[in-house]
Amino acid sequence: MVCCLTTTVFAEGFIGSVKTLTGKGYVVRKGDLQPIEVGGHIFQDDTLVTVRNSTMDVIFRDDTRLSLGPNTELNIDEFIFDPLHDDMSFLAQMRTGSATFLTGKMAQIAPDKMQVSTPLTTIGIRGTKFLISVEPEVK
Amino acid sequence: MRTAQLALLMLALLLFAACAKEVGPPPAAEAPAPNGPLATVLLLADPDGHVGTVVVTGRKGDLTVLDKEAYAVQVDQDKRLTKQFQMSKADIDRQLGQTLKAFPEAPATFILYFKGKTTSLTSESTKLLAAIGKTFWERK
Repeated sequence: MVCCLTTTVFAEGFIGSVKTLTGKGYVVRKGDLQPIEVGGHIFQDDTLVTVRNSTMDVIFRDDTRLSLGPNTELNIDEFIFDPLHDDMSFLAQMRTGSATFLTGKMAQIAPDKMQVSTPLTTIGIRGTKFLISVEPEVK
Repeated sequence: MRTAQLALLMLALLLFAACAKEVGPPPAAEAPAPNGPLATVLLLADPDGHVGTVVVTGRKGDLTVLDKEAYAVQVDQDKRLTKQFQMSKADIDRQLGQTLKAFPEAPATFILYFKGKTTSLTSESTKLLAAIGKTFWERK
């Protein structure tokens, strides 16, 4: 019973889900690399991974859309969307590869709360669509 | 008899191999192009044509504000931000086309209204049902 309750709480805490997937997509969750399928849930602190000739599209709870190109690794450091309590934050870390973002409701309500960092840059987002590409092995 | 047993064993092994799920680590990424940019940030127009702003800050404290469609900034080999520049459609398609092509369609939103405190839809909302069904099957 305890096990069931724990599972339910965890499942309700998802921050987004995979909308489409071409090729193979993975998620690194609590240190474990596992394949993810269309409809699979994304949680805070997940690292999304695509491989060669693979793409993955994710929709977050605030309608922010994220599309990963091939050979990409992106960690969702923080995602909080609680407009009622004015608590919002989207922090992501792109390690390598390419990704397109289209900001959702969070950027409309709290435009200074969204930030994506790469090994060499920090990108503050003021409600828009943009693409980031990071070469591998950049430190 | 022994041949038949051997064949059955081989078949079982083949089925087992086919059912095994590949969960190995993803292959290593390709090496970057020599002397090419280390990173690129490109501003695009929203589906409704609106163009927002992104503020790009480099590790050496340099800063660029992108607020025009198809303008980009790159990180050069010295790890500094380049001047922003307009990227041609051909370059965008060649360098970043695969990522852009994968971008999902915007979610479709339909608002349905009910008559007073009933469970009957208004005539305008009833007319929307066909469009909702069509969109569902197109995107399924």
